[in-house]
This record gives sequence, C-alpha cells and structure tokens, in this order.
Amino acid sequence: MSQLDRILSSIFSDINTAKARADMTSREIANRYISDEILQYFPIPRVGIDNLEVELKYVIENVEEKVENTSQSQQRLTDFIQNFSVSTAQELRKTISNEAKSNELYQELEGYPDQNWESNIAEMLTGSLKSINLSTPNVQNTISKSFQLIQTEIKEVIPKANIVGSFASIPTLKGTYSLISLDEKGQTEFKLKNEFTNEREAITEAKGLIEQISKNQLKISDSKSSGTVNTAKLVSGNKQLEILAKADPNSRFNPKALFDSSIAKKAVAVKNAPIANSWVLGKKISPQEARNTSNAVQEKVDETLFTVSKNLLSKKSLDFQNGIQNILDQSKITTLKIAVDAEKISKAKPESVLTLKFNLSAKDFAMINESDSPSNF
Amino acid sequence: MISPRFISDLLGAPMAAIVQAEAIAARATADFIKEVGFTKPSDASDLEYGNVRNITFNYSRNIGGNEEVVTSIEVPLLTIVSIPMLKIAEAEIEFDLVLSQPDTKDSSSNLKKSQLAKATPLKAIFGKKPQAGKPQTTSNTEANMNVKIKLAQSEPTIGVIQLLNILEANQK
Repeated sequence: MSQLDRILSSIFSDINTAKARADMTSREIANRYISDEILQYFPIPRVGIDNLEVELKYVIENVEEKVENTSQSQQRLTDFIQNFSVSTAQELRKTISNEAKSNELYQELEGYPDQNWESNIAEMLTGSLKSINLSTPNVQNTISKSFQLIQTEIKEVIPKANIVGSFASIPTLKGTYSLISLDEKGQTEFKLKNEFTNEREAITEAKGLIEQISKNQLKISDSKSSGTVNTAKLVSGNKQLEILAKADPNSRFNPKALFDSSIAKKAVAVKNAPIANSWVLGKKISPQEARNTSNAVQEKVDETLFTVSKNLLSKKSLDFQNGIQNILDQSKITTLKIAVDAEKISKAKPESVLTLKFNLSAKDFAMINESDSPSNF
Repeated sequence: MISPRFISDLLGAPMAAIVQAEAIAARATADFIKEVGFTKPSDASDLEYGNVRNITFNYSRNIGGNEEVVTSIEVPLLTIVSIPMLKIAEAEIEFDLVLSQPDTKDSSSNLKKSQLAKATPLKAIFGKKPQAGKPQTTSNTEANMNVKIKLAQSEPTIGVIQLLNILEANQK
C-alpha cells in the first residue's frame, strides 16, 4: 500500500534510469568508434524518447485524511499562537484593570497592570502554547492541558487581597501590602500608614488588631484632620500605629468620633461573631480552633482578579480551539493508498480497479539549459 | 521462473539493445568497407588496411579520324559499389508488465540506492496483456501496466560534439 505520487515517482525514476542506460551504451560505443579508422566517421548510435505512453492499473485500498505538517501550516500555527497571545494578554490587562478600578480591595492598584506586564503575559502564553503540534493525535486534549497550565501560571502573576474579619490586606503598586479597615458594606474606613513587605505580615497585624479590639485594648489618640485626610494613632499598650482616612467635608463628626465609632463597631462585631461549636460542625474541635473558625478572624482570600481572568481565559480557550481547528482543516490532505501489485489487482473487485494513463513526449526529456537547441535527449 | 526486476531494467534493456544493434550494423558496414575497399584481408583488430582496392577499365577512345586509342581508367572499387549503411530511424517498443510491490518495511530487500527517498520501488516481470471479456485464471496473473515507447535517432548535443572533437584531436 502506497500513495499514488510515490508510485508515479518510482515509474518516472525508472524511465530516467532506463534512458540513462541507453545513453551509457552510446557512450561505450562512442569510445569504440573514436579508435576505429572507419567508424570514427560514423554517427554515434543514440536514441531519444520521442513518445512514451504508460497505462497503469491500480486498486484503491484505502482513503486517508491526515494533517500535513508542512512549513506553511507550521508558520500559520506560529502566527496564530503569536496573535492569540498578544490579543489575549491585551484583553486580560483590560479586564483586570477594569475590575481593579471598581473593587475596593484593589484601590491601591491604579493603572495596574502596565504594558510590561502585558508583554510578559503574551510571552508566557506563547511559551505555553507553542508546544501544540498539528500532528499530535489528540490536539484538542493538548490545548485543554495547555490552558490548565496557563491558568496555574496566571494565578501566580495576578494580585489577590486577604480579608481577615473587617480588615483586609491589599496589594499596592509598589509590590507591598496595605492594611485597610472595612465597614459592614465593605467600604474602606481607614488604612494603616505603614505598609507590609508581604501579605503574611499584614494578616498577622490584622489578627493582632482584632484580638486587641476584642479585649477593648485598642484606643484612638492624636486624631486630627488636614482637610482631605483624617489621621490618628491606634494605641495598644506601648504600641502605636498611625492610621489615615479620607476626610468627608460634609461630615459633622470630628475625626476622633469617626475613628472611635469604627473601632466600637468592630468590637461589637468581633464579640457577636458566631463561634463554631462541635455540635454545629459535627466534629470535635478545640476552643482555639473554634476561635480561628470564627468570622471575626477567619482568613478569606479574595481572588476576584484571578476569577475574571479565568473566565476570560475560558472564553478565549474556545476561540483558540476554533482557530486551531481551522488551521487543522486547512492543513488536512486526503491521500489515496493504492496498490499496483498485479496479484492484488487480480483479486480486487473490478469496480475498485482504476486505470491511469500518461504520455511523455520528447520535450519532457529535454536537457536543461538547452532551450536554444532543443534535443531529443 | 523469472524473478521480478526493476522497471528501469526492463525499460532500459530494449533501449540499450537498439543502440547496440545499430553499433553492430555499423561495425558490419566498417568491415564491408575494409574488405571490399582495401586489399588487406578484413580483420577488425588490425588497424592496417593495406592499399585501396581499385578496378581498371579499358575502353577505345576516338582521337580523330578513324584513329582509336585504348584508354585505361582506374577507380576505387568503393566509389562504384553501394555501401550497406543501416540506420534505425525510429523504433517502437511495447510491452506489458505484471507489477509487484516489494514490502518497503523489509529491510533485507535490496532496494536501489538511487531511488527517490519517497518513491515506492516497483518490480515487474513481462506479462500477458489482459483480454477483454476473458475471465482471468488464478494461475496466471495478467499484466497491469502497458508501456509504449517510440524511439528516434537523436542528434548529438553540443556538449557531445565538443567531447568527440576533443577525443578526435587526442587521437591524432
């Protein structure tokens, strides 16, 4: 079983070899003629193919459709991946930016992500998708795996906030973390002036503050207003933390009253927070575990930016699959697997036996670069 | 039982045979010239031809009045006899082949190195032309490839002429 083109290649090759054999005979004769007193004046016997007709019977054994991984299809794939990566990185940046603008937890990320982030994401996408090969048997499966990998990688490069009770550790553009206090509607009440180098430090600080609030150890002092910003100090024993909040010009309360009110509300919320009991959970837990599972101190990771990115990637993965499918369809070729073995043909059904005829004329055997002096060679 | 051969062998053999046949005919012509036109007995390996074989005519020639003179003319024999020179102007070869496809996966098969990398090597034996309406017998597989070649005497190319000139110059 072979392809028709290979069979024909073989026949053409054999015809050329046969002609070469006749020419070799002419050469040997020419050598003999040249040394003969009389024959040297004779023309050298030399034949050229004037016309050659071939009639070939063959049988089609199978019809195959397969993807031809040519340089052209490979280039088409590379270009598609490149364009897809660039446009997806662009959309991711826009989606994240829009979400960050409207989300209180990402208020410190104004202008995020930047162009450099977008370029790096495009590069990462290209790197993850370039392993896709058109000749892979189950290419859609490979695409699916690649997108799972992309999701994992994307998660690593998208900021997240951590909520602990009514505090939140939020990312800043500098790469640090701010600790903000949230009211019951999720709006910022105040933030700590100090920033934290990592989220864990911010979370620990938040937990400490909640602990002190629950024990009524946290006091407000040195509160003042500078017009647009209210400032104060959170005092607990010897420890002092500077806090600041956006001043409301229409507010009739002084900064201290506002800060005190915030802390008082938090104290009520912490004390009234439902505590998980063994009988609620259906498993035995220690008092410490019960406290940790309380809403007042429980950590929640906010992955809003990742979630919107993931949703976008899911939608884009369908576009990508369709795009790859188009390339696959364009790169598919149908090949006929045929047999020219006379015995197989004799056993084949007459309707599956086909005949191929072709004709080669003298010009098909013309010498290269002799267009000015055509030869029958 | 003739074992299958490459198609190039089956095609090339008759083409080469035509060239050789013409060379044999030319050799016969050369021998004829040597034997008839020269005095030394023909010997293909002997480059010495001897003298040109002439024939002499005597005839009476009137030189005026009633006076006649016997005149002798000597001419080379070759100029008055026709030399048999055969040349194949055109040849037609037609044959039917029973193809067989050697298993390309078989590494032991002696495939031609000159075959194109992707070409499927084919072998064949001469076969019987299939006859329409006649059922085929299982013992004798009918040919499935018919080849007709029309050959003509070809003029030497410029390159070949130049090559022959060089060879000729070296002989002198």
